[in-house]
Amino acid sequence: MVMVRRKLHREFPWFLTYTVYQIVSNTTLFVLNHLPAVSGHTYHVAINADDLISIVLRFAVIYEVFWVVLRPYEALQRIASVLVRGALVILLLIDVVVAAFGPVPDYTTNLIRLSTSVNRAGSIIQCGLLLFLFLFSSYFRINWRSFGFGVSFGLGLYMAVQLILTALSSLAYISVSDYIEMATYHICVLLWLVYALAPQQVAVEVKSVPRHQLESWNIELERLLQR
Amino acid sequence: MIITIILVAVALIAIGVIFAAAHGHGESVKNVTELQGKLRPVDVLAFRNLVDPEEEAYLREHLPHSEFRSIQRERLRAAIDYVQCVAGNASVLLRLGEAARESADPEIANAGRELVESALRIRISAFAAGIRLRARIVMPGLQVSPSAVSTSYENLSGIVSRLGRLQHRSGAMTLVS
Repeated sequence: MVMVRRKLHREFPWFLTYTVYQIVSNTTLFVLNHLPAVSGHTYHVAINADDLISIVLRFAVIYEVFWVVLRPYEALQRIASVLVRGALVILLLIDVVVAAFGPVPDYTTNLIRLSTSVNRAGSIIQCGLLLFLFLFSSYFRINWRSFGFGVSFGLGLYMAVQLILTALSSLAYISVSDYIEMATYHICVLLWLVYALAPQQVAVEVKSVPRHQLESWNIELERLLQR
Repeated sequence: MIITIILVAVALIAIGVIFAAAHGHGESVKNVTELQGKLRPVDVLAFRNLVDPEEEAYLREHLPHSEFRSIQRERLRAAIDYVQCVAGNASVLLRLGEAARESADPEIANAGRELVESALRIRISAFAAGIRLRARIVMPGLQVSPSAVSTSYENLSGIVSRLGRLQHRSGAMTLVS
């Protein structure tokens, strides 16, 4: 509602889709978990399907953030595109190595094992891509729009925590894993809400730029260039 | 076990980077004066001299090998400092360009866009030059051309001059806080 009211859905349609999907899917899973007619197997199949859809939607959100952040910087789009592809290849290779040689949870069923592995694989790539985005934008001093930053901030935090949880869950059963993940997600929702409600960057008019100010910059630069 | 430890460590680093970015994101520039104070002087000619192959060849010819290696390392470290300084100035000018391109005056806005593009090109060149210079400290045989950074910087200076003239004429501009 906040997104629509502040017209953020126009710039971040995939993020809106993702958040709406999370509400619908979590409600559905909650109902399935409490329906006596639904077997444990069916419930875990539903969880795996939800994991896959969530991962796909998060990729769309990350792509959307990249696009929104880089749109005003034509000079960076090409190099960013090349670097993102490179990062993606490296992250996929890491995924392959982790899948081949990483630990597999041996305390549970095949469906939960699959869920943990899929989430771990997704977390590695998505956390890596968001880390790349933060480092890239930090190096180039990219001026983030507030909400775009908030989306990446929250999603990055969530993916990092999910990566820790899935990595540790591959070794041993963590009874509070679901609670930690849910708490992190709710913190992220609060973050997104804060950034959605925060005032967007407003063009502040500098009423009079001192006449000598930029000239002195030029004189200084030219003097330095001519040394 | 090792893979798990690595993954957890990477995730913790990611959390650190994200929070550091969030801290930096909160810092906003309120006016042009604030930007002006952040510019650092850069002597491009001195930089060119430091990475000049002829100068290097001359030193190689006239100095004992060990002394040359030591002096050359110092020269390259100094060149890296220059590159970092140029990159820092480019990021300041990038903010100025971003502010200028919000201007209602189409000429200032256009000059601002050019400034942003040039500043970003310098950041890219500076990144590549920094890697090459560091590689040359490790592998002295590599050749580095300073033209990518110094020529871009000279172009940037020209755009800043143009922007300055335009703003001088206009007397007002907008700045994104």
